[in-house]
Amino acid sequence: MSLYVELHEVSKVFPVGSSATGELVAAMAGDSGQGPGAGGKVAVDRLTLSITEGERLGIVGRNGAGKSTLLHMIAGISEPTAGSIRITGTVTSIMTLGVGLRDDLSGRENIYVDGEIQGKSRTDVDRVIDQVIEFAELGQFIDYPVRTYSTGMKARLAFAMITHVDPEILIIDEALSVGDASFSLKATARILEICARGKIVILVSHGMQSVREICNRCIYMKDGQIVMDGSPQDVTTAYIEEVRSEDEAALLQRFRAHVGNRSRRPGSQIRRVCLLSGSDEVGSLRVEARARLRIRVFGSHDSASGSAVCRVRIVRLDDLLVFQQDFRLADFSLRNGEIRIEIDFDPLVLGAAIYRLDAIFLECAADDSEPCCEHSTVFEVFTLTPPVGGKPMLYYPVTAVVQT
Amino acid sequence: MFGFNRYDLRLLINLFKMNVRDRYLGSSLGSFWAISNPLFMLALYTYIFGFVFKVKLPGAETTLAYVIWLISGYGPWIATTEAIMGAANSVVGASGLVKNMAFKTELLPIAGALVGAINLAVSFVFLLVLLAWAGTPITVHVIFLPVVMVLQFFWIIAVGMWLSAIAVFVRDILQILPTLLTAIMFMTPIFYPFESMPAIIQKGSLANPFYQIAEAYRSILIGNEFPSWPGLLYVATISGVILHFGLAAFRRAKGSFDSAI
Repeated sequence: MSLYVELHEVSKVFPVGSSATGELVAAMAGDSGQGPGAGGKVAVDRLTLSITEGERLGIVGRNGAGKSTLLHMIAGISEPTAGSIRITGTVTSIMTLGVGLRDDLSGRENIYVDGEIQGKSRTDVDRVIDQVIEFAELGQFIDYPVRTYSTGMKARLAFAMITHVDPEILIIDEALSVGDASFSLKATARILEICARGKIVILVSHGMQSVREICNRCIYMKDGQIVMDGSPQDVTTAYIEEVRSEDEAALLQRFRAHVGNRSRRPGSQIRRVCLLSGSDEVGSLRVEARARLRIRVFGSHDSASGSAVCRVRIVRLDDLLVFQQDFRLADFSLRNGEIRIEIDFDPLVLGAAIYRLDAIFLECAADDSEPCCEHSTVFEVFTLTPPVGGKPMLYYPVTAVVQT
Repeated sequence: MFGFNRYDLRLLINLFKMNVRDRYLGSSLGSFWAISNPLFMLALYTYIFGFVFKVKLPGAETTLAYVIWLISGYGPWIATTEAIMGAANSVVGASGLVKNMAFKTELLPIAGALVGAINLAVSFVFLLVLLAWAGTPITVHVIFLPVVMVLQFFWIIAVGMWLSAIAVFVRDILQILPTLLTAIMFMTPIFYPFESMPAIIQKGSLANPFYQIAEAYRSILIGNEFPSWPGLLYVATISGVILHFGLAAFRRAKGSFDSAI
C-alpha cells in the first residue's frame, strides 16, 4: 500500500487570553466547536494538503506563518482544532535536537537514554551505537558527562543520535545547522542521505539552498495558509522575492518621515525614482555595495530649458551629505516634455548603511533657488561580505602596485 | 487493555527506568537515597509515636507491636505520596518530550506513579525485619499482598491520570498537592486506629480508598486474616471508573498539551 499524508480543512487555534481553567475545560471537553476566529490566534487556517509517496516537501514561510504548528500536527504531537488528518505509515519527527540529554550522564549513556525515549530496546541501540559515536566525533569525551561538553559538542552528539533513524515518513524542523563548518557539511550530507531513504519527507527550513537540494515539491505558507505550491525552484524564488518586497515596505514605513513626493508648482513633478543594483531591471530599495548602481529619475517639467536642473543628493540618515550633483534638465528632456535621467554609479562605493535619496527639480542651480518639486526615498546599502573589525564608510575602488 | 499494546509496555518500562534514574541522578550517593529516605521517615515516626507519645494499641502491649502496626500503614502511605506526586508531575516534568515527540503521553503518569513501588518495596523489607524480630508468624494470607499492591497502584494511577493532565493547564495544583496529601494522611486512620475516630467520621472513612488500602495491608500482615473483600472491590470499582474517565479526558486534552506546557 502506498503511503500518504492527507490534511483536510485543518485548523489550529491557540487560545489567547483565556484563563488556564478555561483552557483546561475546553481541552478536556474536546471542545472543537470553537471554530477559527472565535477568539484566539489562528496558527493554521483551513489548510488542505495531500502528500503522496515519493514526495519530499519543503515548507517555507516567515516566522509565525504556522509551519511548525503544521508539522506538530502531522507528527501527532498536537491535534488540530478542526479538520482531519489521515496518515498511513509510521512518522518519525526531528523537531529539536538534544531533547532529553541528561547532563549528568556520559555521552554513551545518553545514546541509550535517547533509545529508551524512542521506545527502542537495548539491543536495538547496541546495533547502531558505534556508528553514532563515530559520527559524533567526540573522541574520548563520549565517556565524560555531558555537562562537560561545549554547546557545539552537545549539538553534535544530539545530531548523531538522530542519524540512525530509518523512516517511512520523516519530518524535520530546522535541524540542519549544527557545529562547525566541517561538521555542518557532514550533517547536511547525512540529512540528504536520510531524506533519500525516507519515503515521504517533510522539511521546514529557512535555508532556501537546503530546500532546493532536498525537496522535489515546495509550499509557501503565510498566515496559516498555503499561498503557493510548486517546484522548489519556483516557490523559493517567489518567497525570497516577496520577503524582499515586504522588507522594503517595512524600511519605507520605518523611515516614512524621510520619504515623500511633493510638487510645489503645477507642471513640474517627479513621478518615480528607481534604483537598479547590479543587473537588476526591476528596482529595489536594497542595493549591494561595490556593485553597479543605476538611479533612474522619471518626471516632467514644463520649462525644461535654460537653467533648470535636477539636483540629486544622497544623504546618510544622520544628515551627512555624501553626494550631490546637478544635471541640466535640458539634456535629459524627451520631445514630449518627459524627463528621464539615468545616473550610473559603477561601482557604488558607499558603505553599508541606510541613506536618503533626494531628487529635486530647481529653476536654476543657485543655492537659494526654490525647488519646483522634490522626491525623497530611502534605500539601504548592504554587503554580502560584512567587513571585519570596523565599518568603512566607503568602498573606494583603488589600485595598488609594488613601488619600485 | 485501556487502549495500550505490547509496544507501549516496552516504552512504559523505558520511561520507568528513566524516571528512577533521573530521580537520583546527580546526587553522589545516587540510589542509596531511594532506600534511606523512606527508612529515615519510618524511623522518625516510629520514634515520635512509639517512644515520645508512647501510643499503645488496645490489645497490643509492646511498643514494637505498635511500631509494626504503624509501619504497615505508614510504609505504603510513603509510597502513595511519592507515586501521586510522581504521576502529577510527570507530564509537566517531561515537557521536552511532550513538545517534541509523538508518543502515548498517557504512559507518563503511569511510569511516574510506578516510581512509588520502590518505596513500597523498601518499607516491606523493613517491615519483614521487624516482624521477624517480634516473632510474628507470617501466614498464608500474605499471598494476597500483591493483589493489594496492584489495587493501590491502580487507584493511584487513576487519580494521577487526572492530576497530570490538569497540572499542565493549572500548575497550581502541584503547589497545593503536598499539603493536601498531608491532610489526607491525618484524616486517614494511619497513625491512630479506626476505632478512635468519631463514629460519624468512621462511616465516611469507609469510602476513603486510602483507608481501605491501609486496612487491607494491616489485615494481611498483622491481623493474619483475609482483607475485606467488599472494601477491595470498592477500591477496584472506583479506580476503574475514575481511570476510565481520566484516560478519556487525558486523551482529549493531550492535543493541547504542546501549547499549554
